[in-house]
Amino acid sequence: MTAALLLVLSQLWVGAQTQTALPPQVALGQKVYLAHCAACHGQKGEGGSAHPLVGPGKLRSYQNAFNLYNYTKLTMPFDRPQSLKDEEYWAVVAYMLHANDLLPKGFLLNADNARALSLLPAR
Amino acid sequence: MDQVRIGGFRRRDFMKLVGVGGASAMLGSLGLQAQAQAQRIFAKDDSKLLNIGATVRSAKWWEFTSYITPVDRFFIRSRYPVPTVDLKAWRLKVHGDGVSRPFELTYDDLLKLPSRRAIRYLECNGNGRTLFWEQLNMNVRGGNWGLGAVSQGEWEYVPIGEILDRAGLKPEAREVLFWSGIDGPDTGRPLPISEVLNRPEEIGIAFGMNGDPLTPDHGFPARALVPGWGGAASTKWITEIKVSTNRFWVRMNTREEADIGPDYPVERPGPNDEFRAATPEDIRGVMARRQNVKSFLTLPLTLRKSRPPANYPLAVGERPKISAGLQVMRGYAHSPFGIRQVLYRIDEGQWTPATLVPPNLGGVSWVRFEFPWQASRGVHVLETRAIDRAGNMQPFAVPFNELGHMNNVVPRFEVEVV
Repeated sequence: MTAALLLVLSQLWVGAQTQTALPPQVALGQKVYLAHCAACHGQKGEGGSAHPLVGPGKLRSYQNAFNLYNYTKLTMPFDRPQSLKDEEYWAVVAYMLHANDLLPKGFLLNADNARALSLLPAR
Repeated sequence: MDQVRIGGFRRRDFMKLVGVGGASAMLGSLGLQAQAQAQRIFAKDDSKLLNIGATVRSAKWWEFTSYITPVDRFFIRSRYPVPTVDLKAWRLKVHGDGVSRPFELTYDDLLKLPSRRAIRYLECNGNGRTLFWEQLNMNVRGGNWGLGAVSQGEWEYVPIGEILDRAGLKPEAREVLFWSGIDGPDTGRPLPISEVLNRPEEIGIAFGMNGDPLTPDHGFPARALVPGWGGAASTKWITEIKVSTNRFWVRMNTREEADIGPDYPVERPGPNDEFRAATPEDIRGVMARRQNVKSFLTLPLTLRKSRPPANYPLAVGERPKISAGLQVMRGYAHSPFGIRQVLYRIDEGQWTPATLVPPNLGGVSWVRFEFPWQASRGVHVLETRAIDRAGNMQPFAVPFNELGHMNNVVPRFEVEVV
């Protein structure tokens, strides 16, 4: 009885973990974000001394994910632009898209598919 | 068809000057590609500027000495890294249902048009935002400009009247949109036709700055010049002038560069208005328009409630130090209406007129001022208050607005005399 209950609980726990675990690229992006971006843009992209990054239409100026990657790589982190690895830039952009519900499930963001990923709101 | 003539232009001159065909420059699609190739944020050395945002540099106002701001000390407010412009492909397209003769200009065509030179300051709508945090305890959003989002240049420009006369401005025209097809996908700003009709010689398309062609960071090959309005109106890297019988709504008169707060109205779009990279839901206030009267001393502000920019000379709470004894304190004052008088006071004593240092040209140009001060050891507070030629005087409080615009309160400069 106790064993069965533990089994059920453990399965529920695994299920919950699976549901909330981030895809590897997004998880790396979160790590990069918290280390290099959150100080100015807020822990969850809500904004701080720099503009918010999460919210309706916040990324639309960039039109597509490639432009966002390009801008981010060229200008960020604020104190040391162009100092991160390329995969870290892709990851942090994927994380920003994920946080804005703009990243399709299972999407591995890269130079080949980023231009086709629109950031314009569906209207 | 009725036409509004606002310049002294003869049409046959125009036909000589504008020999261009109808080839489209395809600048819209060039924009982001150019940006992608430009592996730099600024073209000029930014070491004499204050780093307040990824693509934004404030001027170090406490280092100002000259009447004309040298290019390397001139503030930069861009949304995107400086674009690379292919001059051969560049065109300025003038069109819209508010004109009867649309046309395009090449760079050479633009340079051949009648031009003017004028000394005008440019100021960002957010200049003085720092004082919302430091002096008014208001929580606004945006970059920590200090008092350095203003600089003065000598501009060489083609008056807008010359351009719109060639295009045949219709009496029902309502707004003029200055747009850059190069500076990202969403950069440009409209201007009511009334501004153009009132100032056909003062508003224009600039191609020269301080005796040279515009530099890349300041809009090469050409930019709009709308003196007296926040710099957002002076679209850099301009490629399009669209005149409409309706209104325009863009990033920079809705989500940005708008005055949004309980004391400001909320504008309502019309049914036929043109939206570019903006939606009706983005309109939450009123487009920021004419600037107001301001003054500052060439001293850095003491920052307590806002984070100092990375290369700011003072730590949080630190005051600039000056030596005891007779000092000459210096500053600048400006207003779209020109400056009549600047007052100062020390430690909330008597307001006293400062000496204005020539030239004081009036209009949208600034003036330098100075006053002697027998500085005694200890901490002191210096304040300056300008009065413009329309009688406006700097206030001690301004209404809250979310983006921290139009703050022209009397600034307080703390100094430690040692």
